[in-house]
Amino acid sequence: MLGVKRKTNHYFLETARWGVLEINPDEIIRFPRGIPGFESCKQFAIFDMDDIKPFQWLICLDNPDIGFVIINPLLFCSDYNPRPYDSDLADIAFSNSDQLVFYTIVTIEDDPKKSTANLQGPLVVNLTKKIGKQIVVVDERYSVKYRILSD
Amino acid sequence: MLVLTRKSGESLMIGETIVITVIEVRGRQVKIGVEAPREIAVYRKELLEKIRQENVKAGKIQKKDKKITSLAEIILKNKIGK
Repeated sequence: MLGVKRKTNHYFLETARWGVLEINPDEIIRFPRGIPGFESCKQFAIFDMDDIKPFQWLICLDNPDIGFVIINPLLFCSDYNPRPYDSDLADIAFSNSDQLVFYTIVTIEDDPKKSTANLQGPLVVNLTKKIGKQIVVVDERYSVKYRILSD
Repeated sequence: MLVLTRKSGESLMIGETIVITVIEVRGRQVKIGVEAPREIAVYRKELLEKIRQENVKAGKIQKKDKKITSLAEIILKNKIGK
């Protein structure tokens, strides 16, 4: 019926840490190898929550106790231009018409102004096929602990 | 692990496309040259460990941590840092 948005395939996931999450199966991003340190985390979803905007939550659906604060790196490093290796692109089944996006994991420090983002290990996500990977960027402009705010 | 002894200037092949050359040996340090096709990632192993440790640290953040919201406010106010 027109005007009625059916969400029949959505489901709810009850989590200790985040409360009840509404999951759209079409939005689940697979990380076939997990990410370093969390190798068993293969499925993630990204959640927008108003109180942390422009950050987002990347929550592991295999183990919802695990979640990361992520941010679009272009918001604080406008010329960020990491080059994934061909093997990285193969791992996310990239073909030319696919849409790629980078996210960076944020480490919140005790002094929040000193928080950093990991520009050397960005998450590259094939949005078209919903497959992601944390890649290693060999480029001296970028570090694992890149300050989000300048002094 | 395969262990090979090489002298300075000598190389070894990995498959048909990767060439590892010992360029210089000085004391405890070895300078190594790597020729590999673009599709192969080459980096120091410590870097992956650094990324792993940073992931573990980043993953400790709690949902209700006020530090996230206060940083988010600063960023929105500044229209971003750098």
